[in-house]
Amino acid sequence: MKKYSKWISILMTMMLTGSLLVGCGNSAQEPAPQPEQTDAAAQEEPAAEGEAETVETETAGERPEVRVLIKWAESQIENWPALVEEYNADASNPVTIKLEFYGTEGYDDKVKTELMGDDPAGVVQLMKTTFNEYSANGQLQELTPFIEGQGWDYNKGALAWAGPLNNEDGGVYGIPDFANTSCIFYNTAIFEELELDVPTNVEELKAVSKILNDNGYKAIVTGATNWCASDLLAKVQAQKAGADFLVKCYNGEAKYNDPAMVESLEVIKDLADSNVIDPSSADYTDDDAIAEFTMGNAAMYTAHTGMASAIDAVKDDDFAYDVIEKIDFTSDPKTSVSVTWGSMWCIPANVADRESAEAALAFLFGEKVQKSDVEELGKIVNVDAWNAGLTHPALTTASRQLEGAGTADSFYLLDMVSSKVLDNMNKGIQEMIQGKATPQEVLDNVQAVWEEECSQK
Amino acid sequence: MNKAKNRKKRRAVVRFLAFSLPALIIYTLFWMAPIVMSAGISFTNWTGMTKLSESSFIGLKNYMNLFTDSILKITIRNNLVYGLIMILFVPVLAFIVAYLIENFTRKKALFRTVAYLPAILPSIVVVMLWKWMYNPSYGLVNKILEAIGLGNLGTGWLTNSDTALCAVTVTAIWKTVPTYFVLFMAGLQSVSKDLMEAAVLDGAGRMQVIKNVILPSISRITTIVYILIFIDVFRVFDLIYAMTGGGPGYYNTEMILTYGYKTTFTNSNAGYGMAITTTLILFAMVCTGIQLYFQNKRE
Repeated sequence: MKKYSKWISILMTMMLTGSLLVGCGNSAQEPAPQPEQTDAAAQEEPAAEGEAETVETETAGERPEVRVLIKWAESQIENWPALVEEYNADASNPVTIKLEFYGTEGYDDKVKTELMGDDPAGVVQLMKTTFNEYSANGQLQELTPFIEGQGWDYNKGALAWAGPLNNEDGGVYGIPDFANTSCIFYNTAIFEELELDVPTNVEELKAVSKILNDNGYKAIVTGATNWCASDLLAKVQAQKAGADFLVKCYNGEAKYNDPAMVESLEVIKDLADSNVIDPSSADYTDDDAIAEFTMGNAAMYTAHTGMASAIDAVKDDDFAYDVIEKIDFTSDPKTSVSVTWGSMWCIPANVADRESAEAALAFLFGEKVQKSDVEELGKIVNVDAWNAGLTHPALTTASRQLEGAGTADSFYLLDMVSSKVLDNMNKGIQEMIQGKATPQEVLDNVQAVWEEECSQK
Repeated sequence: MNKAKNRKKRRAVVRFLAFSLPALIIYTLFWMAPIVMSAGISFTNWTGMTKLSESSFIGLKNYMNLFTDSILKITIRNNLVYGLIMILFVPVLAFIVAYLIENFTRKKALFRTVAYLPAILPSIVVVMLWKWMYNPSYGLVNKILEAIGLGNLGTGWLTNSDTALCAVTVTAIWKTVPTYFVLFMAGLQSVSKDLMEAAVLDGAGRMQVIKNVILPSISRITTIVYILIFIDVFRVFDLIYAMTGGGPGYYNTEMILTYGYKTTFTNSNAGYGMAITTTLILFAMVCTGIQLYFQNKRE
């Protein structure tokens, strides 16, 4: 045996190396499962972490398949798989749709690879920060004729920013999904207990907050370690300076430390100094802030309406809340509502079969799926008439607030400018709430970072 | 005679290749090639969002930008502070733990296992554990402070700009010490017992034995520990990324690598991001080379 040990060890080393290299190849070139195997396989084997979870039911043999890359987890649009399955089962539909759910981790890299490749997915979901760059790079299809062809009656503001920030031709490069409005949630029981009127402007908000503080409640909490504090700034900024101002900053025609921006941030600083925004917010993530709100320690929580689902997930059954319908942070606001969307759904410019991709997009953002989103998920969609099925009290308020009010001016772009600028803005606001930076310093820093980034690129 | 010699030589070469080639291929493919490619990309304006072929060669522009980048300066400062604390504390603590286990415990195997546990925990588990301990509302650290009457010192350790870097460094020390205590443990076991007994017979106290016998005997291991910690200090990524994301406030725990990662993947400036990481690799290589040079000279 000893005689052959040398050769056995060489053989084993070679086998190990071979299996490693074969393994590398397999992960990249694994053939797609056969249609008849897919359902069973999907039921038997949960997707490994980091891999796409796919929902696919191809029944008609020759219909082209459109892959849809989704950053959200399946639980965030849990109604889609069943609707897509039903769509795929109907042989009269022109394509079959394959939903690929990736979750947050690694999704952006996956999209990059797809868009750089020669055979990208038919439809991709893009977040605001990356959407701007992809559309500016010319990597996305222009969708105006497609949308006009569908005859969807979109809210006026919904498509105003559906292109890059320097969108000279006004093109539409993505379908915006759910509309979210920047809002302040309030605990209706606490307001009733203290017989408080819902505030409609800053002075009333301060007065209400003082009563709340005097009665042992935190007034407003927010997740300053994340992005919700910036959301509040976005709302104030949209009311004071309008969305167009940020586009000018992006295009070098204005500066982030312009007095109008500083004034907007001073409103937030003033709210923090007068305990309207509780100082503990500086240490909070959104989960912490929501916990304080739903436990009844804080009477208000500022974020956007998309966070209603996070509140609902942790609140007790008897916890009731609503959204403050109208609040003016300035005497002459440019807009009554500050609205954004969760993400953009786009068709890559180099897609092989544009017609099929459009067919899939038309189904996913058509009346049937969107109304289902309203009824099943409680989301606000961009066609006012389709929101009739909303039942959630806070979202009904937000939908009423949005109806007819959405314009280009009411759209907030703070999170559409560069990632680095937004990150710096978030960090600065946190420092400001902790009392370590003034609004002027925060915005001077933002402008400096933006100028550095421009010179680096 | 010559034929036999040649055959023997050929066999030795074949054997050498059979054993070293697999490792060499893997090392080249997965380590060297990415490093060389990164260095190449650092001379382009590639954003990372389009094909590399669509980018242009911009010479040393990315490297020139390193000198004017205000955030990079903060990350270098953070890395130096973090590194200094790590270099001061980790070897000392690792040696103390190894010495105590080697000399003062009966159940050495048990203590060795327990002490080594933090090293085998995945980073993400360590992060979750310490994030829970540092939580401002229900974290163990604040609860302990409250229990001993120091509740007013409690804070959001990871969200307070003044404490975040120290809090992260403490976690890193907790995770790192066990890795090096094993090395010291091996070193201590190799120190000549005769030498130590002779020193004791000559009247040397415990501290004198450590200073004059043990430390000189394990100087090679100590050098390796310092080099590894030094390299680790600049490689720190996972703890920071998962614990604080570089925050709170103005990049208070941002490190060079996390910034390089964000520049490349989040801020879509791959060329510049690669310039940051390439410079870091070169810097670490030069510093390690200098350390080794002086060690060899001393020996």
